[in-house]
Amino acid sequence: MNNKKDVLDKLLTPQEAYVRHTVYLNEEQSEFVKGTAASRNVKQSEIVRIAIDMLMEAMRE
Amino acid sequence: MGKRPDMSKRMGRGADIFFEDTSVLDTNKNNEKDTIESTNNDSKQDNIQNSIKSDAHHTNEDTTQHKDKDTTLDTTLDTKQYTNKYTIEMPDTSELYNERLVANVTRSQKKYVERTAKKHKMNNSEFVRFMIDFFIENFELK
Repeated sequence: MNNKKDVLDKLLTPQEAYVRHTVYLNEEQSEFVKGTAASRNVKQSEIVRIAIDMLMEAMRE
Repeated sequence: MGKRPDMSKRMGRGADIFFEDTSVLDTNKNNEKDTIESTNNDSKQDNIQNSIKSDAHHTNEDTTQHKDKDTTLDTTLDTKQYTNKYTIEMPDTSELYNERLVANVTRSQKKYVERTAKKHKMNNSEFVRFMIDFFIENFELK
């Protein structure tokens, strides 16, 4: 049992640890992040992460 | 036609002097003087008037009008352009970024944001705002 629980915890734990990143947006940007997160049923952080990944990919980082 | 009566005989001696003095000589002299003087005066006046007119005309065109075009109009245009620039640029600089968002991102993502923002001489939030705008304009969530 302990082994199964450890395996599940390991799978559910994100492979890379998250850190807090505070940003200040204008009203339109904030509404976009909130609205998109609500409509997709994901956290606002996920939208920011996707945005960063998209930009990194576009700039080929 | 009968012969014209001699006026000197009819009016006496004084009249002779009068008629002699006021005969052809005086009249001609006066006429010559008048004509010459008037001609000279007219020609002088014409010349003077022409020169005044031409000078005034040139002065108006060359100096006054150029001043209007070169200084007054340009200054007005510059002022208007500056005013337009000022009013256009102000909304961008005065835009409020008061929507605080604490996002959980990966370490590599945070390092990327910090590194790229520093490279382009902007703060982290400014770069994230650019990033969000880029995301809004270029990608569509399905």
